[in-house]
Amino acid sequence: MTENNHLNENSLFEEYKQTGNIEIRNAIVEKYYYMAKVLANKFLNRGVEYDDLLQVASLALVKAAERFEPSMQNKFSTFATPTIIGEIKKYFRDKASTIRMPRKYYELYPAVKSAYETLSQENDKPPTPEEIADMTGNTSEDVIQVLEMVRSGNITSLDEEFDEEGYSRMEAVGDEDPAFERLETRDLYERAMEALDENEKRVVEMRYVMGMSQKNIADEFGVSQMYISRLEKKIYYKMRKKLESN
Amino acid sequence: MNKEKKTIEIRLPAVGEHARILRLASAGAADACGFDVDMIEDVKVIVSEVFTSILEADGTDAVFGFIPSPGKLEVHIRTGSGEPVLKGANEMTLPILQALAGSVESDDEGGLKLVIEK
Repeated sequence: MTENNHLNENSLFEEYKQTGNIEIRNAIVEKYYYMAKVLANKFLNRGVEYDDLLQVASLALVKAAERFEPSMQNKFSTFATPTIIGEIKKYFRDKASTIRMPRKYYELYPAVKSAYETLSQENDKPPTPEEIADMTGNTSEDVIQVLEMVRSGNITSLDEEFDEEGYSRMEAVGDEDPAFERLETRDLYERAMEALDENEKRVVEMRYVMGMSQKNIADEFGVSQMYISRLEKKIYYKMRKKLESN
Repeated sequence: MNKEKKTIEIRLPAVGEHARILRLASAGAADACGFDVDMIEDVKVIVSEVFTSILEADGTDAVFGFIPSPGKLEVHIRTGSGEPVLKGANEMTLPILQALAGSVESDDEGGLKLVIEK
């Protein structure tokens, strides 16, 4: 901003200070409204809607306009920016849930996981974050964040193996999982099994009836444990789809 | 344990799309400091702001160095050309950095040091 503009800017504030005229204040706010928009944008994707952020930023802009002292020689933008950011951060602290970010990613996780499984099966190879993002309607950055949080343990995958035998948490929490409760009903179990081919049925039998580990099943079939692990995920997906369609 | 400060350095060509890589790397560094998600997001805003400033200036490479330690993240930024980091800054860049980072210091060679603390 040139020195001339700076003087013009200050004269507007001086006039407001002297008269307290709300119309002048409103003119100031209108002139600097872009700051509220720019700063609200900086805090997007934190679980608060843009409109809410803009409202908080706009109110903070009004406060800043009312409190600004042109005689202090500062530019208004230098004064108002920390004021607006401070109000936005205060809003996050006071109004928004402290777990909004984990919740956001936690909520994204099932969709990301489902898209991962679907795309893996459709294309017979793991999908890229971009492909998952396209399918779930998110950004690939969000997808990477979700995957990263899974890896770092902030979101625990039920499919994740947690011992050297390859048992997953899904198996450990079976009693509390609605899908497993449904499987306890013989009728539903048999219907779910209809979705599987002979080999897959055999794996289910070895795994859940005979209680064999993935490694033992892999040895029996002459394949790697990783293959059985993937097959198990595929089986789970097919059975779930079958039950959902019922 | 080796308590010597280790710098994680990332050099980015002047391509706007690479801001995503920078944000993810900075989030990782901030996470290593034990920051909460809000602070991690603040760090992402900070580095994006500086990177934009560098892109606006002359499109030179940007070099970001992260020094994470418990509760504190130092970020050292310089340009590949040696031009001042904030040469392309707009009127809101510095106030944003000052509001989000605990400390913003320029050095004689045009570099910038930011310190973000819990």
